This record gives sequence, structure tokens and C-alpha cells, in this order.
Amino acid sequence: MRTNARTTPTRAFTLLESLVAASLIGVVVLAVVSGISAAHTVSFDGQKRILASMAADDLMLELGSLDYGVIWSYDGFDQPPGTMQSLDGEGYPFTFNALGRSVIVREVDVVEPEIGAIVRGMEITVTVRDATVDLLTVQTFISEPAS
Amino acid sequence: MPARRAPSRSRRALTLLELLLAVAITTIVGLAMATAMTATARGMTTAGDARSAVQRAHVAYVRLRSYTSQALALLQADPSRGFAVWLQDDVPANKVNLSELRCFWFDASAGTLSVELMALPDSWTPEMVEAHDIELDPDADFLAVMLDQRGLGYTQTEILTEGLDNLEIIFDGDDPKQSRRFRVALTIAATDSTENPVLMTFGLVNHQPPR
Repeated sequence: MRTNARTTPTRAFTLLESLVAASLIGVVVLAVVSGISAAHTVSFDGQKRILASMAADDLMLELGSLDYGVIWSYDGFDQPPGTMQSLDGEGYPFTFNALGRSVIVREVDVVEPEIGAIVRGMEITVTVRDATVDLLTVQTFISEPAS
Repeated sequence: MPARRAPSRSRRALTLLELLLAVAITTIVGLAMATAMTATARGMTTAGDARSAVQRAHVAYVRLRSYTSQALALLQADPSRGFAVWLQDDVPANKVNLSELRCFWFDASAGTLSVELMALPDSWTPEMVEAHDIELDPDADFLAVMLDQRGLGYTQTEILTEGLDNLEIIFDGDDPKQSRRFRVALTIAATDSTENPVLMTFGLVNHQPPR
């Protein structure tokens, strides 16, 4: 008996095949978008930290320019995010809106081993933060002026 | 009864309606993807510009701080030209000598901030240098003095930062020399015409106005 070779019929994709294909494309697109988003987040975070270091150094320099006795009054000084001003009342531009900063001043004695002396002074800690976390903390020691 | 032959599937062309529908769907999807990609690219450019602006601002800040952190006084601030700083009292007399003067120039057309200082020829003897390093009057026009020196060819200039749109010096009171703190407000240029304003505050820890 002769049998005719059957030609393979052209058929459409099954639902399962279509779903698998769509899922694969979805996963790839999601991975790419997540990658771009993560890169943006890291980049923005880096930018924020650069601005935070400037804001911290700014305040530290300004505090250093005050008389020793006046600096104590800045213990507990706090500027919530979006309200930063210089000590003279100049508002920071919107570039710094995500940042806030605070100051802690405490009395410390530093032992100077080379001369075997204790130096009394104050330790100033400036912390810059955003709405959720502390981004940066800088500290400096200012010795008590000789009377 | 003879077995029925399975009817062969007929292959037909697409109708005009099907074709138009397919073209329309493809166009819409293509357009959506193109829009999304353009928006992403624009967003990345803007983010890159902002990042670059912040980095340039930080460079300017660090360089300015290297001059101001030990400076004794802000001598002069001219909104259209720049500002002058008394860097240190190397020739101790509580007076500003030419060699102790640093002038910061803002060139709006070039968008640069540069620093200029006295630089005398290497061939000069110490006596010649000392004779040239005169004491300046505390009320002198320090920027004009530096320009005079430039005219003689006795200065050198270094660019601190580029790409500035604007620069403003802010201090309290009428006399910058008495001010223990001052602010520099910069606007950094970006390619997409967005503004990136930055405020820098400087405290003069060693403040000492000239006499």
C-alpha cells in the first residue's frame, strides 16, 4: 500500500508556548529596568553623599569661626531635611532639599602623649542625614583657648 | 465506506483588515517602546548632568576651601568681577602684602572661576622680590592692584572650575573685611539648560582684618 508523505501542517503557537515566550520577554525587560533603576539609585545616593559632605564641612567651618563660648550654644542644633540654612540665615538651594543636619557639642579632655599633658576642649560632631538615614558624620576637636 | 480524507488546510492570505490591524498594533507597540527609550535616555542624560554638576561644584568647593580655610580675611567682593582674600600674614605686620593677596575672578562669558596671585620672575634676587612685595592699604582696591600686576606680567592664574552660569559672594555687614563668614552661591551650567544652584559657606577660623 502506498502512503502519501504528509506535509507538516503549519500551526499556530499554543497558549502555553505563547505564555512561556511572554514570560521570558517579561523577565528580560524586568531585569533591564531593574538594572537601570539600581544604577540611578546608586548614582543619586552618591550625589547626595557629595552634597552631604559639603553641608557637613560648611557647618563645621562656620562653627569654627565662632567664639569658643558661643559654640556651646549650638549643642542640639538641628535643621530637618529641606530647612538647611547657613548660620547667618542664608537658605540652601533646592539642590540640598533632601538633606538635614544636626550638631552635638561635648566637653572632652584629650591626652597629648608627646608632652604628657591633658588638653581640655570641645568635640563637635556634625551629622548630615536625609529623611531616613544618617549619611555622614564628621567630628573635630577645638581646644579651650588660653585664658 | 471509504475513509474520509482529512481536508488539507487551506493557506490563505491576510485580509486587508487583518493586515491593517497588524500594522496598527505594531506601530503602537513600536511607538510606545521608542517613547519609553527616549524618556529613559533623557532621564539618564539629566541625571548625568546633575551628577556632573554636583561633582564640579564639589571640586570648586575643595579648591576654594584650600584657600579660605587658613585665610585671614575677605578683603573685597565685587559682584561683577570676583573677590579678594588675604591668605596669610607671611610678612607679619597685620598688613596685606602683595604676595599674600589672592584674587578670585569670575568670568561670566567663559563660565570660569580662577585664582590669581603674584608671581615674580625667577631671575629676581630676594632683595628685588622684597622691594616689590609692598604693603597695601587696607582700603585699597585689591582687585585693581592685581590687575596692575597682571599688566606688568607679574601674576599667574589658575582656573579653579569651569561651567559656571553664575557666582555671587554674600557676606554680612558693609565691610567684607569684618566678616568672619561668607557664602559663595554658584549656579552650575548643565547641557539641558537646567540650573544646579549650590551654596558654599566659608568660615574664617583665623579671622584677622588688616590694619
